[in-house]
Amino acid sequence: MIENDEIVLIEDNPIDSELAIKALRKSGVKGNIRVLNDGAEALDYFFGMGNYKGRKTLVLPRFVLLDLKIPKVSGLEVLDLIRANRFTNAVPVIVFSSSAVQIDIQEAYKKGANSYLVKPIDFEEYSSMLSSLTRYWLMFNRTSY
Amino acid sequence: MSQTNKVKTTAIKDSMTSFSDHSFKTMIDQSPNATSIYSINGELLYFNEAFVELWRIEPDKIEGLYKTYNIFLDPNFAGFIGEIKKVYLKGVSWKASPKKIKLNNSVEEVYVGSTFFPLKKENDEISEIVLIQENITNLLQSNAELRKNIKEISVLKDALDVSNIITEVNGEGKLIRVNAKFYEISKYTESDLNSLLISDLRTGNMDDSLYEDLWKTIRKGKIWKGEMENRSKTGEIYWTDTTIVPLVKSSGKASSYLGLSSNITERKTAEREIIKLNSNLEKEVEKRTMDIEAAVGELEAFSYSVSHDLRAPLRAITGFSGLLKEEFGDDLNEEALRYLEIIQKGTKQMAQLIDDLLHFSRVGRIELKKMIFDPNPIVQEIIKKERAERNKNCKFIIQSLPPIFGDSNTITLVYTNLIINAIKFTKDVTKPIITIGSKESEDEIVYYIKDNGVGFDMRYADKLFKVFQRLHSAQQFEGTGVGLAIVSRIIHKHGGRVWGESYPGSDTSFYFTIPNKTEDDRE
Repeated sequence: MIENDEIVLIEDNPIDSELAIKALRKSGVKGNIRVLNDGAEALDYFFGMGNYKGRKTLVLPRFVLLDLKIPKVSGLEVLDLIRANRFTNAVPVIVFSSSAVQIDIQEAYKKGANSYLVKPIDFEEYSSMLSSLTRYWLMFNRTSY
Repeated sequence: MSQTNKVKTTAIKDSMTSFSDHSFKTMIDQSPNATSIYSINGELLYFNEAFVELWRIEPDKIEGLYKTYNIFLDPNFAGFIGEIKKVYLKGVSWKASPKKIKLNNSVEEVYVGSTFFPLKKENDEISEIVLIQENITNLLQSNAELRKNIKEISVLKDALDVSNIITEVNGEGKLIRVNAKFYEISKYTESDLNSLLISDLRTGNMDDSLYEDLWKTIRKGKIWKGEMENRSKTGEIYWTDTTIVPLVKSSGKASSYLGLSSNITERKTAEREIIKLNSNLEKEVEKRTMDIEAAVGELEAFSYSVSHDLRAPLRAITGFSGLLKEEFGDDLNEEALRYLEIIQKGTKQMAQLIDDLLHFSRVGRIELKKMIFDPNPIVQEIIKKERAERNKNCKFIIQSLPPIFGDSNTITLVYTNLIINAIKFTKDVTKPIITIGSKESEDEIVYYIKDNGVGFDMRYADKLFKVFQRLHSAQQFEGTGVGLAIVSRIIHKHGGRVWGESYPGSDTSFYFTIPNKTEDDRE
């Protein structure tokens, strides 16, 4: 078991990521929160390429918050590639999207999302959602690594 | 032998003077034609049985004729005496034109043809004349009929000639006979006919099996009918509706084949035009469908984008105003906090509007899955939930609702919206009562929801179901004005009607109808 406290946030909107970070911190996350700004950067991170060359790719984050509508490589493609690789396929991926469109939800689960959350607009709801999420994935859930 | 013959024999014995040839007399006796012999003075000398029959001479009068009848005194021949005398004088026979004669003791008139010819002695002297008479009434009648028939046939032929192409073809497919119409339409001329085969008219566009079937049929002696495409000498296409009749010889084998064809080129051209128009129409429909699909696709992309991109800045506003309040709330005075409050409320409202708008546009695109279902449990479920969430004081009176033929998911939305509305608009009433029921009229069932709430001004009833149209201020009743628009959209998609009625100080009701299952709905 490789100890790692990192949480990965794949999100292109800086306001959204700041908000997410605030909410995560509020809910007691102490470890590193890594923001990946687009799909390509996410792939670099997971597979040790580009700016992440040399990264210990076997070290997986505690969980990934994935927005679907991100530049370059879409969220669903990123999810697909993470699941296709035997070193990365065990990481919990929580889709965190603005879209409540049924087809997005279905596609995400089909590609192996662990959970699908629609970002609430109301900040209180937003905070409490992320707080529950953190509690579940960091405290209760056991990963395979 | 009859009585008359005996009498005649006696008469001949007595009267015969110049001719005594027995065989001649036998011949006259046997003749089917009325034959009589006269002396040069016109006295009746001899006659046969056919003569008696023709003139309907009564048996007791026969003997008397020899003494009294004289051809020159017969009023029937009054105009021909000169001609009869010529037969005596010149020794040539004469044929009188048919004459209408009134028969003895009868009202019946017959046409009689008379031929006179002389009998000569050995020295060429004329001894007697023979008169052969024949009742030609029937003959004349049938001739007249024949002429009439021929005339009719020729009228028919003329008519046929004018409208039809007539061709006669022999067993080898060579044209034997054609009418003027053939030349007119095929543009071939008489001089072409010798070398022309019926197959020269083929266009090559028709299936060979058609010609095979044609020849097989007519060679069997059967009539063939069909539509044929032909090519004229000048290369123009003309269509015919053709009937081919084998002309059968006495041997039983067809010697030639008669073709009757009407020119149906115009009809065929029109048919082609229709087919072409239909195909164009189909293409047009296909194109329009594609356009619509593209438009729907764009709309889908638009809604998707709205749901994503419009929410992000809203989240920023609510998020950071929330953080502002949370982190710096202590530093802000009351007025600043009130402003923050307004910002958050505004963004919440905006978020609700976006959600409703998306919802409304989605309802428009939902495909209805119609089936017969019981709305009662659905209504119970909605009431249970909404009453608990919105106003527990609300009293519901629920009648048993008849089954609905429709899409249960969207009808659930209809009831949800109408029930939420009813609860909302009865919130200020001390004893809110909401009645859900239906009434049956002649040909439809009207479902309704009645409440004793504030109601609405009937003058603006037409605005009720329009999206984002509100009849109450936001302070009075919150809402975005989408609920009833969704209701109306769903009901209209079902082919039903929806309307509202409200009277001040009385009840407010919303009604809708859903058509019954029709032929179109059956699969």
